[in-house]
Amino acid sequence: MRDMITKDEIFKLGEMARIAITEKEADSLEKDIDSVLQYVSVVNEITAEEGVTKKVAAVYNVFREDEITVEPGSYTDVLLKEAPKVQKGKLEVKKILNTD
Amino acid sequence: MTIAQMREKFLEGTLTPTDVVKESLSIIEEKDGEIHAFLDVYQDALVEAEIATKRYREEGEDVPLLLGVPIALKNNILLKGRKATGGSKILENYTATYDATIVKKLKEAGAIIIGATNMDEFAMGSSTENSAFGATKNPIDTTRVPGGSSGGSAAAVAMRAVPVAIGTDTGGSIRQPASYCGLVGFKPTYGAVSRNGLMAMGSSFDQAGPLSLSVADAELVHQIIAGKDELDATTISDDTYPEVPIKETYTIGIPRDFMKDGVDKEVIQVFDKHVQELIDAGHTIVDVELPLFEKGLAAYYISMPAEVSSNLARYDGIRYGLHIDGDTLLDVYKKTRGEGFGDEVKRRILLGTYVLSSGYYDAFYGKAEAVRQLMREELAEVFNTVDIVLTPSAPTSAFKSGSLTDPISVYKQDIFTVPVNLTGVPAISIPAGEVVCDDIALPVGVQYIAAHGGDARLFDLGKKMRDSKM
Repeated sequence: MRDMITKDEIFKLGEMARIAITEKEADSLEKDIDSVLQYVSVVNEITAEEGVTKKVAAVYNVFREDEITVEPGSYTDVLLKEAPKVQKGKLEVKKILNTD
Repeated sequence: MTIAQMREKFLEGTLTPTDVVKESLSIIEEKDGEIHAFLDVYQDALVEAEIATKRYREEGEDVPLLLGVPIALKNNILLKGRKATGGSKILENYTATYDATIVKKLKEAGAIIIGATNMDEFAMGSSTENSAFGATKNPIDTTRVPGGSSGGSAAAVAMRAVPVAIGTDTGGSIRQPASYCGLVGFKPTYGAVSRNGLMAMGSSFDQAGPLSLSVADAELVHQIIAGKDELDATTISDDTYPEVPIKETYTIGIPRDFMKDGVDKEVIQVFDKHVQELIDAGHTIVDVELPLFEKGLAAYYISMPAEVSSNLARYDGIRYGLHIDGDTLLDVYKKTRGEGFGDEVKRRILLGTYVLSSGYYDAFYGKAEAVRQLMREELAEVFNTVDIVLTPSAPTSAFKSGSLTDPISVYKQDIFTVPVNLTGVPAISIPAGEVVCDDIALPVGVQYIAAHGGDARLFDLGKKMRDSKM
């Protein structure tokens, strides 16, 4: 059967999913993901046989008022304790805009 | 010893929570070096046990239903102030900042949480060999797997460290290990139990439930953790589904076509023996056809990884968990996730990213969700004529550690359990017999499936067929 995915695409998916993939990992991921994709393609047969093209949703939205229900700041310390890098009560992240 | 037996002795005063918790800790001390069911054991459980012991003396029958009963929790369930790793290196040093709703309920009922159990990383696996912290062994035969992903919870009960452990089930992760370890394992109707405080894997599939020695214990613990929760909008009310009444005897449907291929001959023999026991007990057996169920596994391996790829986006190395530094923010994400996630998790995230990406979305994700709807309709049709559907819980008994490596053969372990999660109905696995391999009797379970909201019916038939023989 025709390959459904290439090694290049594995690296591209890694980029999209924000996961660094090594060369060695890419080889086994290509093989495994290809075999799973071949296998799951059977869903096209089922929907073709049954003549279904669109999903019938069994879900609905549940809304609530956007109210503050806890004392502001009451969880700050306990949550920040789990953060890898903190500065003055805030999460520290890398600069994302280059202004040079 | 079951919870019911324990409670009776606690009330009589012939046994105390202190005795039970001491015994639990000593079993763990003695056996867990080899079994590795636990990732964490809470020695201070003894302090709680002493308080419980005192309460039984002072308050007698008025004490809450689980007072003094030791329970173990799968490590993807948050227990405030304790490590919650999800079996992953990316959360190796993460401490839970709040209690899951089910944990709150267990604590209110007086349960003593004695430890956290091992699991496949983020509940992805069928053998508990995918844990970042080493594999769990099956206490019945340590050369074999306990099943998964709730394999630590199953092993903890099977080695008699606790009467009940809580697991989570996305595609069979409670029922398959229960079958492999000779236990009762229950997956509730989707929405019966709050998912608040559970690490999300496939949010439209995940449910928490008990692994236990008796059906009555599973029922008791389920009733305690179930209920509508404003912190989980998908939880259901008592009137969400039409009543599924308890009956004297049931009409039970068997999808024989579905069991033709890939099921061990010995498993079928145990299954057929159970069918005979059901007939002897006065139940009616009929054949049913569920042609979509076999193909349904394919829909699961689209929808589930799609949900996995979205849910696991939160592990970014910024707010909690592992952080690997890099030159740019993108670098931090990629390195942290590249280092922190294991092979199976990466495989499913990439697969999910693929099926959700533009151009493939309609061909895969859209179709898979359509198949789920067709399966719900097919199953609803069958429940017009039968009360319960019966299948084996898994196609084999516990397999040898390290013997299943390619993803598709691992996925096929879930063939009977996955359709239940795809459609959201409840199911229970109960021990039905044994097959002998290398002179060791390995347990085999059967699965009862009911319509949405039919949880109580499953407990009823389970008690009639299992507990009456204990």
